[in-house]
Amino acid sequence: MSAPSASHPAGQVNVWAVVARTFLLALLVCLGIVVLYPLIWMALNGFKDNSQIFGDPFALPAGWSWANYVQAWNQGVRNYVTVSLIVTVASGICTVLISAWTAFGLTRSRMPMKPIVVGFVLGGLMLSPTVALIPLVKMLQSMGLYNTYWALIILYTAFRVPFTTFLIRAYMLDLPRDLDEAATMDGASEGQVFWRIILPLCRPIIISCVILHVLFAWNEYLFAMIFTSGADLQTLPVGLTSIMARHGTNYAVVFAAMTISALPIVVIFFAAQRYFIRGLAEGIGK
Amino acid sequence: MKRSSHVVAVAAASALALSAGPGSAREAVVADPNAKVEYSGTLSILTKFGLQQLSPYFVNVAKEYEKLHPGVKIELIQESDDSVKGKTKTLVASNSLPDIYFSWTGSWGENFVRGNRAVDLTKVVGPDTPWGKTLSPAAVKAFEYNGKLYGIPLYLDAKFMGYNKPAFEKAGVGVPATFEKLLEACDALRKGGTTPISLGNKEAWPAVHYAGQLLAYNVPTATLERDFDPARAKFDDPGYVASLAQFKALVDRCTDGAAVNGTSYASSLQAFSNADSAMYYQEIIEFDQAASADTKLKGADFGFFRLPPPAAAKGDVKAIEGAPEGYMINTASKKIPLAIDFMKFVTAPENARVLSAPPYGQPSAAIDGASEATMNPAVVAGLKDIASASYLMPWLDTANTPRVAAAWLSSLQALVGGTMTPEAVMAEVKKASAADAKRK
Repeated sequence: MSAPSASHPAGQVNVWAVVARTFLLALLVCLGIVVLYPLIWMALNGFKDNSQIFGDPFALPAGWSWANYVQAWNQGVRNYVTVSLIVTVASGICTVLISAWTAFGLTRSRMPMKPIVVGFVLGGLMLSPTVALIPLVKMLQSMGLYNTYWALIILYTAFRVPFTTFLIRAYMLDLPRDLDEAATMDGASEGQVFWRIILPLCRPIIISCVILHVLFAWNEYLFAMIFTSGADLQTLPVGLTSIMARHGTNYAVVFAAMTISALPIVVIFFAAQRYFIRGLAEGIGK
Repeated sequence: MKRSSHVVAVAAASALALSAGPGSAREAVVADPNAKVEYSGTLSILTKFGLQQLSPYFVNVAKEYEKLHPGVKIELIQESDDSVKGKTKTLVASNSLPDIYFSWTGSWGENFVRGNRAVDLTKVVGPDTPWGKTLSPAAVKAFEYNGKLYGIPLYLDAKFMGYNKPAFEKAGVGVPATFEKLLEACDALRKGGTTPISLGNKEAWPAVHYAGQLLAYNVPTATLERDFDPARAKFDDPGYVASLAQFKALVDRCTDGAAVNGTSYASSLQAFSNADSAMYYQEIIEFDQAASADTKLKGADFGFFRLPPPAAAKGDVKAIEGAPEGYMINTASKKIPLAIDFMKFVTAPENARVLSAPPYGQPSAAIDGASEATMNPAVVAGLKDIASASYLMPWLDTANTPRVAAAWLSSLQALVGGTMTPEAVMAEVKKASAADAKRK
């Protein structure tokens, strides 16, 4: 509420400020509902059965049995979550380390034709994954990596390195060079400058990059669909489609599976909201 | 079927990739029935059984086969309804299609044949061959292109009208023998306060399925088949407009009218299972889902009949709309005899019976593939109807070229919505077909 200002007699409230604030609050509440309601609806439908989902889609569930969640977990979601975790964590580590090292080289070392090298690395942003699909299938098949975890880890890393390098490089450019010089004078090698000085200083942007990468790898569908097959190697997005049949789908189990798969991302979002927003802002601003 | 409309969209985009890919210069390969089978090496298969409940089928069959022939290793690529399309396209384009791969009938399968990617199996699976005699002839024929057979049907599917027996009794109606009687039954059911037929046409293919069956009744088969080919198509038979007028009458008298365009097929099936509607036009593979121990409509109250033919029908009144789904063998495979041998094993009666029974519930295309002891009696009876059908009318949206199929899908939706007349629908279909003929 706005405090009585000097231009108003004490006790008199600025009506317009109250109205504006109320409107703002109402707008934010509405936005909150628009975002949260579908998620809550999805989680609630996991407690229903097919006839309730179709007959009374917006009602609360008749009972609170976890049976559908248990069934979804045992019907493959456990495998999908494991595969998604392995691929996301491994590709996340690879992407961030390679990008940070590249960014360090691009900002801190002297090299001829640096702008061209920067352009070359960032040029990867322009490459559409769909276009590269067929050559990639051939390449990975000849390397014996088709239908393995490595296929996804390598591809996710390769396609995310340009963007992540772009973010980390922009951040490193703002770090004062005096720090490196001081470290070098104390006898630190270039590797030590990177590991001990620059990398710890880049922590905020690295966390943002990890989060953006997790978001990408967790939800990626095209590569996961093309480069893996069979329930043992499917990630969540592909696995979820195999729970849905053309006929005989138990939609309640599908909703339960969707809720389970969304949970880690929602938890990460709330835990690291600050970095999420920073990551997005850095991506747009630079 | 959701699949068929998807196929249209995907086929449109992928016809080029499937046929004119890097392998368009391939030579046709004919399977030799006397070739010696070498039981060694790895055999790869792209299946459409990636779904949780279906995936163990091929895994188990492969294990048994490997046990019988220790030198052979079966490599399975199991995909779901949706992912199999993208996967197939990529594998074709990168020339790495496995030895055996899944195919639908109609224009999807035709692309493989046109690109010489499917082995000509006529001498192996033809009706007079030992293997051919164990398979449903109509199902084998569904994979016929240019007079040759290219596919091995694995399971059958066809459309039937499922009905709620107590609802029929309450309204005092019996199983209708003609289409006109069906409309009268609808009036009686509606008077009793029940929705006669639940139809959900949001996905557009449900209307196409009704139209397909009515076309088979009203248009002579030879004319229909001629019209599937844009180069020869005329669409001048009066049976076309008559079928569409009959379908419109069914929509008006038996369903919720234009509102069905806003209802999904899944909710209309649920309405039938909840006993909120008296009938639902469904595929045989939906029988187990429509009435079960968990649904309000119990198995004992579930009945089915073929969509009754109109009294004045000029086409084939014994035709059923439906299509098998099956497998083709890659012309680039180095193990064609082994691939054929494996598929013989998959379609052998003991494996076929496993496929037909729950939990898989996919009615096998093998003649001895049904076991009454383990299967839903309604499915067994339905399979008999399919076996006695004189012609399996392919799904309209897979038999036609993608452009014509798209015209059928959208204009039939407009017909249901009341914004197009039967004549206008046919004009639209003719236009699409003529455009395709010009392109070729």
